[in-house]
Amino acid sequence: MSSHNMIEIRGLDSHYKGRQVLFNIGFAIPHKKVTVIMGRSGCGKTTLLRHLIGLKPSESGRVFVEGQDMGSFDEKGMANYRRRIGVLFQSGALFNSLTVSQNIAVPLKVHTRLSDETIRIMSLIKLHLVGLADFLDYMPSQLSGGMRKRAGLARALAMDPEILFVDEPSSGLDPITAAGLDDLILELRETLGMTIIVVTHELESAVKIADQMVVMDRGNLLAVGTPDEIRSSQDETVLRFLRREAEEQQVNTESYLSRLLGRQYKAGENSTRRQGGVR
Amino acid sequence: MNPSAVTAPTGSGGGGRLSFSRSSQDTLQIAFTGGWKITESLPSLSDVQRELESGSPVRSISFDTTGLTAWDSAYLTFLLQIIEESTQKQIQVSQDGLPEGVRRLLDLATAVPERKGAAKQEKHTPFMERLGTTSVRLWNSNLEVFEFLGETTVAFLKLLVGRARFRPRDLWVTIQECGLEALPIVSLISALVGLIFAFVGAIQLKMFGAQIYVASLVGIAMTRIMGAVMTGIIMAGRTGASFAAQIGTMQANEEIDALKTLGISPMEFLVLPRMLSLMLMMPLLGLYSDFMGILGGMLIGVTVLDLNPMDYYNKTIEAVTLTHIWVGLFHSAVFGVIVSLAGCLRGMQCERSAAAVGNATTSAVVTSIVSIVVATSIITVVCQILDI
Ligand SMILES: Nc1ncnc2c1ncn2[C@@H]1O[C@H](COP(=O)(O)OP(=O)(O)OP(=O)(O)O)[C@@H](O)[C@H]1O
Ligand SMILES: [Mg+2]
Repeated sequence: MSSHNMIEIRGLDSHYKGRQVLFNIGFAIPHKKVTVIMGRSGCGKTTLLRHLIGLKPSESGRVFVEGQDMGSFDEKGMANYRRRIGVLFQSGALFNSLTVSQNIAVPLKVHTRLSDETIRIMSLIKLHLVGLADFLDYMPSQLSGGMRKRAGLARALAMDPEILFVDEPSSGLDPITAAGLDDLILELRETLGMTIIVVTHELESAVKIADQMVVMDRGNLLAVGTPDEIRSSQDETVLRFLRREAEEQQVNTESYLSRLLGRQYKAGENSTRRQGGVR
Repeated sequence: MNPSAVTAPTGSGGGGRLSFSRSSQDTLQIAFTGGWKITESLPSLSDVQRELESGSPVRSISFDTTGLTAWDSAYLTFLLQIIEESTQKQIQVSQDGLPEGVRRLLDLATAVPERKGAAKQEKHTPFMERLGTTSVRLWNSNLEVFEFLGETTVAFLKLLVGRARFRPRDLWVTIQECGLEALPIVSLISALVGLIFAFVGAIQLKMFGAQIYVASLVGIAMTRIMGAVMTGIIMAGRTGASFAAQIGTMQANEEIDALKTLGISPMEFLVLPRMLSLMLMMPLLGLYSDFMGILGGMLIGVTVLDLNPMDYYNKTIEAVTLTHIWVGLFHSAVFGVIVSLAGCLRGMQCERSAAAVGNATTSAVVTSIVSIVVATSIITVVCQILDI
């Protein structure tokens, strides 16, 4: 039912220089709901996000925005789509040559014809939202990692986007500020009816804010459902992820040793020594 | 695991030492004495290897550590090497003699799980395969260059119809950076080049009593080629590198991605003002460099060759025709395009790390200078053919 879905992903594969990192991802992101994407580091969450915001081109017929194929967007279609979205990048991605308030003003200046004074007030409102109102004139390099994240969120919110993408909003934040961000996200969904996609590692915060949870593992989709459904899942890997258990992995001492010592080594080979003892 | 249980004993006792003894016919006992620490001087594995290969074949190894006063990872590493060596030679290793902490760390170290795909198989790739991958890579990097050229062209066309978006202030700032601020270095280098030309020419021309032709030599060389080439190379090192670093840093910091998602084209917003300013300033700098070079030559002409400044001036005016100046300007314009393209291209191609920014900068300078030299040769040959 595409009318209830903001974004639909079908059979999405993704490659970096020939290495496949996403395998046949397919799920839907419902309107005006919070979708949380979880998964271990390096499993392809950011990559998936890049597809959804049009930074990494997907094959035609893979990503649909309100039923329209993103692969068939022309320049204008893409520009329209981008006007409707706000993105918080994993690193914050503030423009380092601009002050915090200028950073937040950029989207407003690009997309609107508001007066400078209006823009100033609007940026201030967004900075208040994330608790950075006192840092208007700071340069990004003068902010802490967590503050940069929050300033990035303020910039993502500058245009009151219909769809908000946030890549790990709470990494590098203390628990109290992180909880504040969770509340903010719920608030945005309630008051502005935003469709919000959050990538996070924090299980607790995911359960708190998610209407829908998506669990990924090594580029594959593991499970999609409400937090309750996910928690009652029978899938071994999902459960392990929820219980935060480390995976049992095969121990191969010989190959570990040979990797550590930087030699090629086959079990049972009884060669006499090559030269070069200690490296 | 309680970390304090495995802490290495501390204490001094100089560097670590090894000694060997045979407790039975085929058992080698290795005794460690002294301090086996990273900072000490330690025996090498080859001592053990030599011992293993000499004498009767060894079936098992045991350790004696009663004389060991201190140890750390260096000791562990040494032991790991011995263990690996022995496993290969099918020799039993008894860890009984080792201190408790060492044994536990060894267990830890050898119990690290193997990560899938982490073991890089080093295999010998056949020549044809390497040839193939290299060609594909070259072809792909050419494709990237063409794509970039295409995007630049589109951005310029947009500029022509007035639809390109960038901040005029950015243009102004880069013009200042690559114009005004480059003047001192361009002056210095150009004057020196003029001076050198005059010197070298003077030695030859003096033999014929034709010193006055130094003026023509310096004038033509500077205006036609050297002014443009010298500024081109200076700007490659100065401005091309800085373009690559600026854009590369923005790429590494995800700023370029952020621009794109805000609906701002990095080609228009970042690349266009930089290319425009360098393409405008390069010919001007080239002309300025011609002038400084001629001044440098005149200095030598007047002081060393005792030429009359007026004569020198007249000779220069006579020799330097408008054609030479145009050819020089054409060189400069081409170099402006080359340097700014290379800088912006390498910046945009940058990957996401600080090291990549460094590589982008180097690559921008190398690309610019090679292209400048190649372009100069082509233009020279074409001018020759067209008799310009
Ligand atoms: N620019 C790139 N070039 C090549 N490979 C990349 C690039 N970016 C990511 N990858 C690879 O893609 C895979 C997925 O990366 P991605 O950044 O999507 O992970 P992630 O789930 O966001 O991890 P994290 O939680 O650590 O941010 C990784 O294996 C990574 O090595
Ligand atoms: Mg990520």
